[in-house]
Amino acid sequence: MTKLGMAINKTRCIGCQTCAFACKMQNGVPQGMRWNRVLTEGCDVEDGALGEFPNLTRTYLPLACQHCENPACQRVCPTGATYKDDKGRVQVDYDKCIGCRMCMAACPYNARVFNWSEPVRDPDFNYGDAAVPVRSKGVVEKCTLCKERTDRGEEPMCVVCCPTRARIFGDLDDPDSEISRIVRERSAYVLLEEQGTKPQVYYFD
Amino acid sequence: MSGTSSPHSGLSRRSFLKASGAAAGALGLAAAAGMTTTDGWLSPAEAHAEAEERVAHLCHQFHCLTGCNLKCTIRDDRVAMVEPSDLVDEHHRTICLRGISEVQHIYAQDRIQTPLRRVGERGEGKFEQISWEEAIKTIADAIKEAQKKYGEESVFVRKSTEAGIDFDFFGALIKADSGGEWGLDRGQPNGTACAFGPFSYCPNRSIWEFTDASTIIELGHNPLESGIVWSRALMDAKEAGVHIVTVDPRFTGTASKSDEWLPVRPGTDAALIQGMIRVILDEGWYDEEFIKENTSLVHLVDRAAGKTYRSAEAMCPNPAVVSLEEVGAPHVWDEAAGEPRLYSESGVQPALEGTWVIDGKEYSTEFTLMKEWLADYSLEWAAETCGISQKTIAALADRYANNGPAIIDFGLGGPDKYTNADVLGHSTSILVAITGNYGKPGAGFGFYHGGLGADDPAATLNAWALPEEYAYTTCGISMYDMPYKENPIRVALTFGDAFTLQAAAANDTLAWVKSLDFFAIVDIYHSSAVDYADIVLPACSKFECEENVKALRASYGHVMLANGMVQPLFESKSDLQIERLLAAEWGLEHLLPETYEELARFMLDGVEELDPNMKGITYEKLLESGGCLPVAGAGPDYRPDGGVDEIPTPSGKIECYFEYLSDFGHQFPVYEDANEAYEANPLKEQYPLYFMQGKTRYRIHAYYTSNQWFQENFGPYVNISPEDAEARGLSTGDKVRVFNSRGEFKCGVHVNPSLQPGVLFMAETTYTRYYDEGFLQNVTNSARIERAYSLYFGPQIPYNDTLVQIEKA
Repeated sequence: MTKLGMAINKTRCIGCQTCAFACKMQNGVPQGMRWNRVLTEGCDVEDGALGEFPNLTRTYLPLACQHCENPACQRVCPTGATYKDDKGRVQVDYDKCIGCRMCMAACPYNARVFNWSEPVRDPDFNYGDAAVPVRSKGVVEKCTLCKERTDRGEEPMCVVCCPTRARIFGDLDDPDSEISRIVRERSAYVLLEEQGTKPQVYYFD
Repeated sequence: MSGTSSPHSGLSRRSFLKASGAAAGALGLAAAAGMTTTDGWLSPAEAHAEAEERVAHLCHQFHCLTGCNLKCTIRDDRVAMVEPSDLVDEHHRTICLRGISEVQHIYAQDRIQTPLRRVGERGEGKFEQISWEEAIKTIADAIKEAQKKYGEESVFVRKSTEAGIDFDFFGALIKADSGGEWGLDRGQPNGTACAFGPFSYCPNRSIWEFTDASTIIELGHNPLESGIVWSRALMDAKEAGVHIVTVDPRFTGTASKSDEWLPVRPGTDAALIQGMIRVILDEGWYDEEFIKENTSLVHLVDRAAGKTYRSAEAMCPNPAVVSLEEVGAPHVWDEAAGEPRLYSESGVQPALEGTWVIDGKEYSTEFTLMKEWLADYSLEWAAETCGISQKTIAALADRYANNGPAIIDFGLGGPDKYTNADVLGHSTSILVAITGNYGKPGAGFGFYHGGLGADDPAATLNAWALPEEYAYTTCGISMYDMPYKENPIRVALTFGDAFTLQAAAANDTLAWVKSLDFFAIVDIYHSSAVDYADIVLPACSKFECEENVKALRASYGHVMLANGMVQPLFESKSDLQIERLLAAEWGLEHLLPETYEELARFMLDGVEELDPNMKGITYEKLLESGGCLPVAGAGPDYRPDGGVDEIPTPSGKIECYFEYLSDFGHQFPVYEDANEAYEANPLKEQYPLYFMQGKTRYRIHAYYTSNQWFQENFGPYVNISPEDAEARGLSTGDKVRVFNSRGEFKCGVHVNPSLQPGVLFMAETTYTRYYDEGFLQNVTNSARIERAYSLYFGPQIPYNDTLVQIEKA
């Protein structure tokens, strides 16, 4: 089997937001939405800090769909629009999505966004990879692990563009892959492990 | 790292939502501010069964010193994707959010679409559309009239950096004033130029040696937000266990990734460095052998005259800025012979310290004089001045001197933007000189980045030259001085927003601009300066051209020819065609290339005969390759392995004693307060807060302001510490008024613990229209001190040397 996933090196992540915009560009994500965000952990302003001067810390958390092995979103989807595909990625069948947003409520990672109205793109044409389907009003969308790219054997755009090479993409079912090695050897962890969602996106320091 | 920041312990569902809610909130804010589309100028994409796609490549910005080669997907003649180039090796396959977001920025609503003529008052921003013919004629008429009425010296032409690199001839053709010194980014280099050579701020070794260092000091440098792609080298070093120390008044991204953060008070970095020097001298941690071999500290100085004891007969190979005169060769005290000898004599054993009477005059070594100078500066003084504890300064000195090799990587923002920046550069030069952390693997000093793309030494290209009689002139008064000193300028033409970027105290600058007879601007976007122009010409972006090819650039061991361009949007034109139209008004367009193709072919013509490394790099081959070819021998990293035996100073040694500054008493870097930003300044009673500006990942200076994608994350706001905010009743999201006697502006505020109490920070500038009122340059300091006019790069604009007060708007 193939179980695609990602490991993110938080030591190397500099919070530059390049991955967030690489994703927006590649996938034609409309205004007001992001499939991939870089959060400053625990802060209400970007590039904020925790602690009190001069004892401060700051960590960035790049966050998108965790492509869970046990996805909470899939369990609540009434139409089967959300599904695990043959490569272990969580996908949305936009034709089946009825816009009920149960998945959004179920996702503990707040990874999904919804087209409340007709999507607005700026520039007002369909930028991004031509192979990525255009979503319409009333459907939910999120990181596909760059399905169109990874189906072609390419890496996700956030991985390719990361200036510090903080992202590692690969097959978690292949014990010899770099990502499997990192998960084994670098004390990689997942977010909100207690939720039992079994994310396929790992973080390590 | 505190436990609360770890997702293991801290990432409860609740805090998670809080963190992600922040992003959602920011997006909501942008929506409220009006998320606009491109004004309907662009008809919706037609529904082709299969869209026509092609690939274009170009070298992107030099202004961030990265020069990434970008791969662009052009669909239906629109730039639909931008990604890292596949024409360069993995090492050079770089991009950051600025390159990617060009997909929006090219089509941003602030694009100037047609030539414009001012109809309102200057600064009011009211324009009417006119034709190119009329606009060009109006500009030419104004220039000719001024030339006739006041003389040729009355016309000022300046190109901003990016525009100047691609094409810059019109100013020379009409013998315009270039505006003299730039006053930017050369504050510390003013202090390093004499010591290590004029351009030593570019390190003589590679950034990829960061992993070879034991210690890296990031001195007022935040590469994680400025030259983003170079942060990879720093993160490599971090993972390799290199001890990283960041000296910066605020908790920058770079500080957050460092092992130590030293939050100096703004403008006091030199005190920290001098404290380190003092400790190293007191503890005997200096490298005596290196000092004797490679520095001027053993040279003898006439104590009464303050001049180096030089030979009239033997000359140094390279008379340069240390003495400002043709210099003789210096003497040292030869311990073997017990007499003075020329520094370069073979077998000479120079004494490090001592005072001798020679022919009735008293001479000491520079080292002895340096100790005497430093006797006035204690570690206690250093700690009190810069706000870093004595223990921390001493520990850093220990680490730097004794746990090498060590690198000092200084920024050209931050501490550079104070009137005392040369004192810092000079002090750090001495620190490097006495410890020998220079010219060997993992040791070095300078503004580290991959190298300046524009000065890429790996490539050889022909430079298009005008006949000798056509050249820029200068009236001797730099642009930043023009509002304050009598000068002949009556007409100005700028390519880019020079007046609002390259000068502080905008109210002074813009009052002067308003007093001119005529001002025209060529710009891509409606930048802050545009509103003051009489005529506005629309330039196209790097991605657009009338022809298939555009700029030929040498960048990081590659030659890159922009190709596959899209047609200029709206009525915009390329810089080359704009210059040709202007030149034609003087009948001089025949002196310029007709096309970028002609220019590129000329630049490459016969270069392989000049430089064997250029073999095979021809115009045709470049186009065949997609527009990018490596220069032979450059490899992944063309930086030389610079040593200490090739220092371009008069003696070939690191010069520590700046004789030419004796009129100012600055042969050594005597500490002085900044002009305005210092603790004891009585002005603090009225304006108690330091106001700093610096880089953000969302801008290169003001460029990318109009990027709608970025506006979802980022707009003009001031950062303030929680203490200062509380004292003024300010909360994140409030509107504030920032002011001092020079002016004021209004914008949003973020309460951010990354700021130390007493310090405000704002990312450098954003077009005026995005502020609630004014813009940050209204409050910045334009002071110049007399000494600065004697320095190699002249006075620098002290943007950060600024005190303000802030209140709820």
